[in-house]
Amino acid sequence: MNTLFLPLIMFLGMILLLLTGRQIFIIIGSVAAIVALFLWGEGATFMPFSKGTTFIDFYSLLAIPPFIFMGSILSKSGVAERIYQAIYVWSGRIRGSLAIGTVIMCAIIAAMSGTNIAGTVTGTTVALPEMLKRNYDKKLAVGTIMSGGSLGFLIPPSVVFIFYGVIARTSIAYLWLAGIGPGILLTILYIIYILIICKKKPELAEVMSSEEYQKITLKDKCVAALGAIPALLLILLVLGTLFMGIITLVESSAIGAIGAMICAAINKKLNWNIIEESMEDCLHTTTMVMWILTAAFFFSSVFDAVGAVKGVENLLNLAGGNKWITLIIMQISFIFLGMVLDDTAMLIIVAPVYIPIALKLGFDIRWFGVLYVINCQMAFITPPFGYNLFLMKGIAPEGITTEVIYKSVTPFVIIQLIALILVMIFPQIAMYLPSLRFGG
Amino acid sequence: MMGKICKYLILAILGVMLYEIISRYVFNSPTDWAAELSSYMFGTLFFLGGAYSLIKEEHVRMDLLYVKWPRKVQRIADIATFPLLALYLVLFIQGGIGNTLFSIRNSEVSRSLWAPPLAPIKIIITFGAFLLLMEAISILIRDILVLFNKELPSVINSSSKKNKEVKL
Repeated sequence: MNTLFLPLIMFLGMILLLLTGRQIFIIIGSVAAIVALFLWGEGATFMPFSKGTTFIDFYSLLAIPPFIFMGSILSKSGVAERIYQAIYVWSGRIRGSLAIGTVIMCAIIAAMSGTNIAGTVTGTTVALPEMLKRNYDKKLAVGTIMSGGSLGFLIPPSVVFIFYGVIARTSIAYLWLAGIGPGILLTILYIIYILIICKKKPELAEVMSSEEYQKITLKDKCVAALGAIPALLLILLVLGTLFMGIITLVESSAIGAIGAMICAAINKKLNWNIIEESMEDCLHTTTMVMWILTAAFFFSSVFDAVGAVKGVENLLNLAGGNKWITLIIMQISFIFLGMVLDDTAMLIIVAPVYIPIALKLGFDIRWFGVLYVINCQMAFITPPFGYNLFLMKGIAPEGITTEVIYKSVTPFVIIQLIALILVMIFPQIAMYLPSLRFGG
Repeated sequence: MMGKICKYLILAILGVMLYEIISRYVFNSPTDWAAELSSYMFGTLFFLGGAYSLIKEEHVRMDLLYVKWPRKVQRIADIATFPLLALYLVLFIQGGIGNTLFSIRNSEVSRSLWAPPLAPIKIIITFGAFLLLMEAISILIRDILVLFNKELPSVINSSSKKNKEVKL
């Protein structure tokens, strides 16, 4: 039990202090500092700074700012609206087509941006007003956007996978390819759910009237499709060349960012304002995650030194030592941690503890990473504390109350749980694509 | 000012990366400095950007309770947790100064073909933490003054005006 005492105090201390609302990186860094000073006294002073220089050793991290910049440029230059418009005019009179269009749009945005923010924000600003205008049920509309937005974690380019790859010292391109299968699975499951629920309860979603539908000419359809094509080509180019091994991760991020500016220029939307705003976005997001990363590396090395791995391992062994039960307990702990920590902090604190345990149990750590990311998605839309919930509350129009937002996610969380279980039982869902490229 | 410089760094990083891509794939002569240089620029971007993001309230908080508190309670909480911030950053800066002085004294260089001196990036990282600490102190002073209903001295007002100019 002794091995557990210090890690437990350190961990609980961090959770308690987080509740004060002080910036997360400060809490993580200061808790680590207190424990380090207690353990090593003067010797601890060199640690925070030396963890500050670790970014130099992990060259892949450099892909983060360009991918954030790329997503920001594309969403600000109206590319998302064009994609939505195209789906809208093509899908015609299917009941629930706007909700389905939203899911597809979010999946495409996920494929051009590294975080979940772009999808949720565009969904709320572009798709939500359209759906409300068509008298869609508020809960269906909001739930669609929240769950669609969270696809940004799973579908490459994904910043969470970069962090995971850095910590687990495994190929990031492999992880990104492994995220595609579950990402598509989730997208399809969401669409099936929307189709079924709209069939059962037609009052949830209004359909375009037939006169209105006839007004849409073939020319309109072609124009709409053409508007969406440059961005789709860019995604194919960036991810395609990366997965074929022609260019490296960091190079693909640079090409993506420059390509995004070209796409915006083709749409005649490239101006200094958009570039300036995107630079600002990029600066803040990068700064935020990297300061957390720096503090969390410090925390995790102190956490490791006080014997967290051994302690947690002992704790998990209490559950009987069956490897599947252990895995399930780890998954459940992610969901709870996701309620209080943000994804970067959670990953860097928990992953160094869990990865050795998962390895010892004989699990593939790349597959374990995919499970972790699906879990991240759930954590982000699960009340009471999920970042997407707050993001939504901040930008949604009036009439979308907290209660609506909380209730809207229930069916979608259940779908994510189903997907998580499916990927646990059938690892091929994630591992098939990368095995084609990398073998084994 | 700092915020503006850091913001433009992303364009500079993209420029360096593009230069490297073109020289590698078009002219088949990769550089030995582009990767390392862009990595240092990346570090500069987020370390010097830290203070700017603090002013803009862009560092994420665990705000489950925090958002529900009235502004006054938030200020009290921020004042009460300031020692934590100071502890981490002072330790960071102290280590940074020691480490930088070591690099300067031994003219330490990076272990790469390009082999640039390591002191500049270390000075930048330490300076970034120092700026963040200074910004946090200025926010602390403002919080205390507002809490005790003191008039803000004109110095602080003018400095906050300056910040607004940076935003534009």
